[in-house]
Amino acid sequence: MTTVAVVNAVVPFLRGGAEILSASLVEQLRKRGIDAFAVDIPAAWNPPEVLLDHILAARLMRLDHVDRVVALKFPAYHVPHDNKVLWMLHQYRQAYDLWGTPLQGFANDSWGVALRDAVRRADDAFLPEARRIYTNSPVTRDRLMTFNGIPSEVLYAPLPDPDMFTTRPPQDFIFMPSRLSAAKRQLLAVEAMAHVRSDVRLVVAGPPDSEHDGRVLHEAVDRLGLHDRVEVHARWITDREKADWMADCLACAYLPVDEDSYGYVTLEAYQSRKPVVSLTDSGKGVLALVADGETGWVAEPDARALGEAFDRAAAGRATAHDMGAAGQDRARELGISWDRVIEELTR
Amino acid sequence: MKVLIASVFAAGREPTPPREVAALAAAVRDAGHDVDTLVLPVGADDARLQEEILALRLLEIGHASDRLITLRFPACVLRHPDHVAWCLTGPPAAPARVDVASAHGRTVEFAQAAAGRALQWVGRVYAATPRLAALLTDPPDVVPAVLSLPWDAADAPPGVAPAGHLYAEWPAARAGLLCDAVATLGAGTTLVCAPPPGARWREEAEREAEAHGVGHRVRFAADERERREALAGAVAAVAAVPGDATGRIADEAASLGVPCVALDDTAAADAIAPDATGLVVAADADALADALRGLVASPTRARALGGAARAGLAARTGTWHDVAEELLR
Repeated sequence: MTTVAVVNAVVPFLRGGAEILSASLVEQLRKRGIDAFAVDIPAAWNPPEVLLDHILAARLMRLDHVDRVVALKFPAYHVPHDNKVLWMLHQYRQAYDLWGTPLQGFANDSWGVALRDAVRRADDAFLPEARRIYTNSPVTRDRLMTFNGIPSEVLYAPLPDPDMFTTRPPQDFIFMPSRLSAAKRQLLAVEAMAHVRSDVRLVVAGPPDSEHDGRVLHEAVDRLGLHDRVEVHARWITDREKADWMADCLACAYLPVDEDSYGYVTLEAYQSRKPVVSLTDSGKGVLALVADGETGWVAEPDARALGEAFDRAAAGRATAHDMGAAGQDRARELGISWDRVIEELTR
Repeated sequence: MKVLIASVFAAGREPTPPREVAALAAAVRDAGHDVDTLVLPVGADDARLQEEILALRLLEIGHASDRLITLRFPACVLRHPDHVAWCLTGPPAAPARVDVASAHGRTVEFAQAAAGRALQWVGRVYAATPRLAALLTDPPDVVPAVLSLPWDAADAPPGVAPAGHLYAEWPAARAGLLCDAVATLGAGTTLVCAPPPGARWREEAEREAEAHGVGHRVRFAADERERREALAGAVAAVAAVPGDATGRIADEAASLGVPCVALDDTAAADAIAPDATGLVVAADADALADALRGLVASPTRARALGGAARAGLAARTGTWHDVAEELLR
């Protein structure tokens, strides 16, 4: 195999875990002598009917002069190719498990149902074109089987650059790096700080998905009078900044709503020997690594319970390093490595 | 301002991102703007051009950026409320030059029409060369201004000495012409080509050279460094790619003080003052061979032409800063 295209769906000016993973996969393929490059196809969900345009656009594109396509996300993963392998990070969840929830994203009427069904039919029809399908977590695998009846194998995504992360003695803050977004629940973390009794602080950092996502956090800090306890850095942070905050923190907070994968933040925290605070509804992928009292703390998804978890983290400062190391052991047990990823995706 | 720079590339046949995308992004960033880039895959030829145009037209990208700048065709068909098209390449040859009754002719006609239609909705349209501007002046109410691709004069890489070889970008559609010309030159004259973007492409090119009896005299640079060194040390660069409306090879060669011999239907010919900064010849093997033979026999003349090309380059093409300023206004 000489030429591999890594196909991803992107929204211009937004960078998250999938974009980092795509770039890392290209780099790791090249390190092994394979001519790899990224193909980013724009995605959009607003207004919802553009979903169908983007599915059609992906179907009209061709990558005839590459030996293999590795496709990652909807709707870009519908690009046709005779030798395509899927490493599925996301289906369009609003048409699946998020249908009927507040995160559904489009109207619950006959028009919305038709749109949902069109997305599902596209997945039913086109996903089996792939030679093999890998998913990034048991959650993604189970969803694909439940809704589409399509089997897949779990292939966990390693950290792009694990050596970047180091550890230092814990200071008095909990670090929460991520895109600022309702789905990542930074607002809940800020509100939890109003219930914290210890002297622990919270540092939130990451690019806001929208101006609103950054503004609500600053407004919450103002409203709750938490200026001396909470820092909000609503901007893109460099890898170096992130690694430094990780190295110095007491613990990391990672609070997604029903995340599919374990989340890079979790793996980065454990690489830095730091425990992780998460929530009972943050998803099977996250909770496969974060075990309450062993590799971190898991709270009910409300501000008071989360505040108590932050206090438990503050009280456990002496054992924080050991809990983070236990998390790293757990990640190792899951066989997360680039050698395995490349072997599977190129065989 | 959030500026999205979009272009296309022949996936599997050329590196990504194209050099001009990275250079323009850097210049826009230097001007204090937030920049992202989007480089979409297209085929190496126009066999599926209609589908590609439709795919790009369907994409919704307007919500994320304040301005869209598109470069190579068919990126100009992307939709955006504040769209500036800097056309570095255009649709394939004008319908008058192909049989419109053929499938290829219909594709070309569609591409021309799609480009014309899309450009009517674009805020401002620029073309990289006068040849391209003329091609895009259809319908007549779209009149692109010419905005050249910059290329800064550069020193040859350290250790590169003039050698007896020629340099070319492999002209897949005209490989026979180029090989036939090389075949008539002295046996010591070799041709170094830009690195092929993929093994399959390279095998095809090597088979073609072999079939014309010059397989042993044609080689491909292994990577970008070797390509650059090969160009810097060449007697002359040959511009034979008919679909290249940018004439970029002439400018890059000029930046290194290497003269360019261009076939008269390439855009590179527009960048050359004949017999002053390079040579322009008819698109046939004999004419090309004559011109190349003369330069191989007289390295002094070749260096003089290259030196003159280099001296006039900056004034002709401007800088990336100039381009960014124009596209952002």
